[in-house]
Amino acid sequence: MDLNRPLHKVLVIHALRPTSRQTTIDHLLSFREHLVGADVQYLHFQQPLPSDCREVEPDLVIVNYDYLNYRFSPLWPYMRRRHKGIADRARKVVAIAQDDFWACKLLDDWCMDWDVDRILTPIDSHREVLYPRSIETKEFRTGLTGYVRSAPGPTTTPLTERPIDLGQRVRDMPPHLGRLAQEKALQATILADAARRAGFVVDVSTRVEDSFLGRDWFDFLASCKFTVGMKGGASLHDPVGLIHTRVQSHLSRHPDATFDEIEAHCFPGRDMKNEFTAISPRLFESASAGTCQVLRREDYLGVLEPWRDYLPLEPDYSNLSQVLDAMRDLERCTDIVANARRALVESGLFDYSRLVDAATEGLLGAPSPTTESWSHLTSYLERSGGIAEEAGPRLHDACLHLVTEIIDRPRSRVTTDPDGLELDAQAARLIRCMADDRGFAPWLAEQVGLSRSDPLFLRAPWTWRPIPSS
Amino acid sequence: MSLDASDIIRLRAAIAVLSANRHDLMWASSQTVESVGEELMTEVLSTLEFAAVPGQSRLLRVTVRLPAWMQYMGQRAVLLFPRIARRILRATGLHHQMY
Repeated sequence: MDLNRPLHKVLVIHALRPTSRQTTIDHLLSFREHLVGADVQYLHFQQPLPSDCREVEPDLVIVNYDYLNYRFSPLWPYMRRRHKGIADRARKVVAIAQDDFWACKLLDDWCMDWDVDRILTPIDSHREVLYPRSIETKEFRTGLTGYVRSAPGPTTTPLTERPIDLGQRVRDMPPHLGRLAQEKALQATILADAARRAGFVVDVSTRVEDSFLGRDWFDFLASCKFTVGMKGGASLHDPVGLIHTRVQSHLSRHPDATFDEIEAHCFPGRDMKNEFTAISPRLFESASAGTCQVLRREDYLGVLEPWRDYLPLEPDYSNLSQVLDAMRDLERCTDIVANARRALVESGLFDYSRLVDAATEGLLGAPSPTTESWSHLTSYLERSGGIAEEAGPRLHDACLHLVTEIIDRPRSRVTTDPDGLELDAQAARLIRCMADDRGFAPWLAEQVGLSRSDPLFLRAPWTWRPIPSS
Repeated sequence: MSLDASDIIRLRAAIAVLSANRHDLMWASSQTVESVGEELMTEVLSTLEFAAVPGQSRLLRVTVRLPAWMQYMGQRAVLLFPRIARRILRATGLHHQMY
């Protein structure tokens, strides 16, 4: 590579939170890992920008799904204005959408407003229903909800040594997504009940409080012989999210309402007119963990064959006993695990490099010269990321809470002096003290200064996180 | 200078106080006074006394009875006044959820 050649300037706009899943972090980091010859910078949409960084002209702006999933938030009008100037100056803009069946009109309008060039979506059918305006002028490509990391796969234990026979965590999906969204939890519950009756050790739950985060999820999956799944999706078309609001409102008044009652009250006759389905990232996670998958019989990316790569469960559960019998034959299931791993993981067909290709292929022309503004942005973002890295995520979060406190409630718990911060509350003093000990005081003062007049900061109740370096 | 386990506990407690998150305040109040620190524990307990219980606010109970479109417009309209909006969020415990 010619070291003097200018690099492509790529800006990824994201919305990482303290509670973001590892899949989201892997997804974001893949651009820096796989985009050779590019200077990839990550900007959190809430992160305040100094004025000398705002005039950047990136070669490519990539807007990630975690940002776009805020489209139903009342803050969306402020969010979409915030970085539109950067998008206008960028040569190309790519949107990576997920869950685009929900509040899709807001997404479609945003794509037109930001003049997006390419849209990646996991939904491969009825795109004209979801994007009635963009479908005419934008390029669409398939982007999955999860990919496989190209690092060597983790070592996993053989099926015979795993303590749990059938394991899964499935969320009870909200009713506003329609009947199809309820199917995943229903299928898991039906198989779990049947397996329990047949004497298998079962650990399947639909309760949020039983879910695992980060590494714990993979460890759990790797301790199960079998897991159960299907494509995710929705069957209710809710363009601006009004059905969502109606359902939430109904549920607040009738917390024990059944799905049928909610349907009759909030969206009679509107469900199941379209099916918007997408592959779940669990497909790849299970294959990486060496766990045999019991999946609803349907098409999985054209690469998985029933009985060869997974145990197929019919949609009407008519072959439930056949599947349970097959689960007893661990030798055969070990072959199925190896086949699925070959098809999904070792084939390299679903590496993160494929996501990067889908997002950027053909959009990066000759790199533009590096401007002063881009250099300022790069150094500002690296400084912010470095602080978070050095301080650890917890202290970074605490500092941002402190900034909120200083700006939000200057007369109650915190008073400010001309130099910056004089803190009354013990909690605020403690955070300030820890930040000072680590030399973060100038950064903290800079954040206070930048946030004070930031229209989004004044309204957003959330804490932001910069992207970790690896 | 990396954080040790006791720093993490005190930071979690401090965040709980500043954000008035009832769930985190409950966690902090269940720690020992030695690990959190006497002054900070006093703040934890006094904040917990007034921290909103999510879903229990009278304002919320009233607004869910409004038609969906009115809630939708109301949520957006209140953002024209950010300080009032933040005060409502804190008072209702909604500031730890997506809208």
